[in-house]
Amino acid sequence: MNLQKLLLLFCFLQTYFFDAFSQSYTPIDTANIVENKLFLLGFKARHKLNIDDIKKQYSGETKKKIQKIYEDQFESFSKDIIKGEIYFEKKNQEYLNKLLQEVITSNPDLKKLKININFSRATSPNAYSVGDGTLVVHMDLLNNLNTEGELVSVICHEIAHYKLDHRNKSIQKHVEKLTSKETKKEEREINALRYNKQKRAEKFIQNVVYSRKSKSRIHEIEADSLGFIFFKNTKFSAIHVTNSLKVLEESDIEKDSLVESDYKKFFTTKNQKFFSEWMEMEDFSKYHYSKEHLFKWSVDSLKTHPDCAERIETLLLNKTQSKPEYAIDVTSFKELKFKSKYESVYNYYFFKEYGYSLYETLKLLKIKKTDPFLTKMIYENLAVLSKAKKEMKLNTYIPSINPKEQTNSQQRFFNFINNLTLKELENLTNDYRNLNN
Amino acid sequence: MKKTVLSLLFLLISHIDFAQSYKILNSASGTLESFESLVDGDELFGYVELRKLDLEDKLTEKYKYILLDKNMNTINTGEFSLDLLKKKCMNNNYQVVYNKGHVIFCFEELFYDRGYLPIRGSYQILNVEQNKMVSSGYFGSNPTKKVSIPALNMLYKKSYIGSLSDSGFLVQTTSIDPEVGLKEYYYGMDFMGKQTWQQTYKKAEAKHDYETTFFDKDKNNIVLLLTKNRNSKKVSDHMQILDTKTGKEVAFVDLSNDKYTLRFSNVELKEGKLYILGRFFEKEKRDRVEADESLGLYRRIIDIKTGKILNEDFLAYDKFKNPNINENGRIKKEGYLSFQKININPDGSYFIIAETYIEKSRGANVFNELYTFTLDKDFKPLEMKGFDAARTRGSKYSFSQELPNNVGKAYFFYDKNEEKEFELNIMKYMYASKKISVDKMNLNNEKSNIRVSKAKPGYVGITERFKNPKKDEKTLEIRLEKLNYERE
Repeated sequence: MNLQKLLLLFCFLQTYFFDAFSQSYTPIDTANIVENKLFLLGFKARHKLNIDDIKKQYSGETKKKIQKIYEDQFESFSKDIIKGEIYFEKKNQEYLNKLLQEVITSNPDLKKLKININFSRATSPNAYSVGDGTLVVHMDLLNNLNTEGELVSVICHEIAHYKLDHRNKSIQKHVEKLTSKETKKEEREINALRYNKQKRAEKFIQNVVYSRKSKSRIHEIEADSLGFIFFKNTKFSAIHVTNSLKVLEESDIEKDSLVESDYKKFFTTKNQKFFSEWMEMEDFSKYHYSKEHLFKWSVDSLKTHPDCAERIETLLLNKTQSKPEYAIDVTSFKELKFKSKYESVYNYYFFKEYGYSLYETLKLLKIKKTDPFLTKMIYENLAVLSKAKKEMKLNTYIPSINPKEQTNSQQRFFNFINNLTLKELENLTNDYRNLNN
Repeated sequence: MKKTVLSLLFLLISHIDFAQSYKILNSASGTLESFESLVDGDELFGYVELRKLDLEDKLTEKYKYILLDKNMNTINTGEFSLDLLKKKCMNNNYQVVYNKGHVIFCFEELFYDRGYLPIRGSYQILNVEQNKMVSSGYFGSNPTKKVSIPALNMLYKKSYIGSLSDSGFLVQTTSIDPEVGLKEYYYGMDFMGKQTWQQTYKKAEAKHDYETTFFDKDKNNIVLLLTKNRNSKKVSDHMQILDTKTGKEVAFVDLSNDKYTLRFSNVELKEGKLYILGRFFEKEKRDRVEADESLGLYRRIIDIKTGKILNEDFLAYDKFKNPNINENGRIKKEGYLSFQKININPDGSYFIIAETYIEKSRGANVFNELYTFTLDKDFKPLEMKGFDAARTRGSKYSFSQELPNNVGKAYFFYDKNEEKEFELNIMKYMYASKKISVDKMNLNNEKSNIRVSKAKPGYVGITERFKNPKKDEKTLEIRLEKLNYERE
């Protein structure tokens, strides 16, 4: 078969594949009890080893406080696993493991470390190292990354955090400081004060917080550096590291939006006409919001991560030589990227953030034009919101308007939901239910 | 999404994940002094949280305010200091008023000596847009430190503040003039704290005095109720209408009637007219009414400019055309009608909420059924509706809330359900269709207890406290819920 025909066949298969895929998307099931149990067992065993180490290393109040922190974190993460927040789906897992293996193979020192990596349902573009060798990548991160190389650079960064033992050092150093004689002395002096007690107490807490955030920024720089060394040893070009940092810096900027015509299109249904009153926005123009912190603390000092430009500069990425284009499994990456959009919609629903689930569904459907899964998600979310409105619990799932934190598009959406009467919401729910039947 | 009143404390806790002396955290966040709604006319501007932070030295206190918008999002914060006259004193915030982009905080200074003795009143005026205090001062004359505490206590009278159209604040205050004696007066104060006019309380004839209460105001007028007393016994009721710009008396109206004794329950300024609504009784000596037996509802409309009565209507109970109401407003087996709210609708008609009650011993009333009455703009009865309600100690009616765009009004009352638990009933009256509907909300269930409060038009504030929350689960949720009503 000649190249032209091959290309044609490839395009056909791509289109067919994605068309077939989008016909009836099924969210990835995380309720696999066996997998969850196995994962939990391993996590529990590592946690126990960690606690044993703490008991040997520390004593008294310090030991008690550190142990409590780890116990709380263990409990919290265990709950997440039991609730089904971690993905174990075979194909995605195999892909992640492939990427991890690429990094380990390129960095033989890492073979000694026992590292596991999983996706999670969390609805923010993030990844983190638990501290015991478990790395977690939020599925939503895939919505922001553009290349496999960027994903690998994030993995390298998290491995670096683990290798540098940042989490454990951070906890232990912080507790040591809080239980130190100097801190106790400061607390006693503050409690004994008659005048300017609040001022001194606030200063004390400010120093504690600034110190923690500063350490966090230092850790990020260290993880960037070491992570970059791991990454450089792979066949990927450094440009992916630069791009991943840029992408992450802009990850909280909303890329798509809904405009008035979208609402008219989605919410003119068989038994419900569109009302222009639905688009009325609450007026917040008379408020002059301050950008300052509530305590007037320095916003820069409260950052947990340095700015992107500073990170790129620190890594001297601009001066690094590029390599030829390389990929491990582009098809799987693209497939995952495709799925992540649908998973994000479902994951908001999973976490009972029905307002955001509906919002993201509409934005995606605006691009897709038609999609049975997305139409079904509209119905599912409307059904819950309808019930909540009847019980006067709608604000549990739909945030109040906050011009400081929400984009115009988000404010428009939340206003729209609040402007629907109960009957209108029920009509829309029923019409969408019938569309799905 | 959800807000908490103790925003400072929780913010601090969120910064400190690890175990930390709770005392330090508490010290850093100060103590909650007050949390108040800021109302601009009929509209909710937002809220303010006031916290006492510190004693800076033996005679200076430091405060922090947090301004919130109508959705409880933080707008801005700031701090200010207050002086103390003497040691063992402390300030206490007793009133917060909002008007046209300004907030006035009113304080009473208390001296502690086996009890708290008020000795001085002061204020701070905040310009919201600039986020700075633009004026501060004392109510009455500022006493010196040489005056003794008992003397200060004797001289001190509390001042009350209201908003004054677009121009500032209205202060109702009292001072003791060594030569004249007690001097009661109001004055207009602009937003910079400058007095714009002063008006002493009206003086009655010999052996009489007036007891004055603020009643209502609009952009142009202030309405005061003046009760004339002789030897502490009531003689008559009057309305005094003042001009907001000058404080001068515009009209002085005798509220009595030759034929009947009147008791008003609602006074409203509307388009240059004063509407006085209430019940009328058999004419009693000195208009004293002690019985529950009224004869019906009355309405008096007064022209603000002249003080003349434009209309007076007496609606006897037999006109309601309901055989269950006797001539004294009593419904058989239920008790007397108590009119909780008489509301004037935008089209001039009336919507009234009433409850029947029986007076038990020791003055505790037992309330039975709930009724609504609608009257046309000529004060003629249109309809009376009954709502099956349980027997309760105390009135069921709580408050009312406008719906946005003037489509109607919601009335909130508490009633017991079949399980004898209190549930909230939200009665909505829609102006266009004149339809009434009632939604119920359970206040106590397996998972939580709910409290309800007034919020921005069309919304209600809900505080849901969860019973037995698991670790990491929320214990409290505060949210704003839109009232359910249909589009007309």
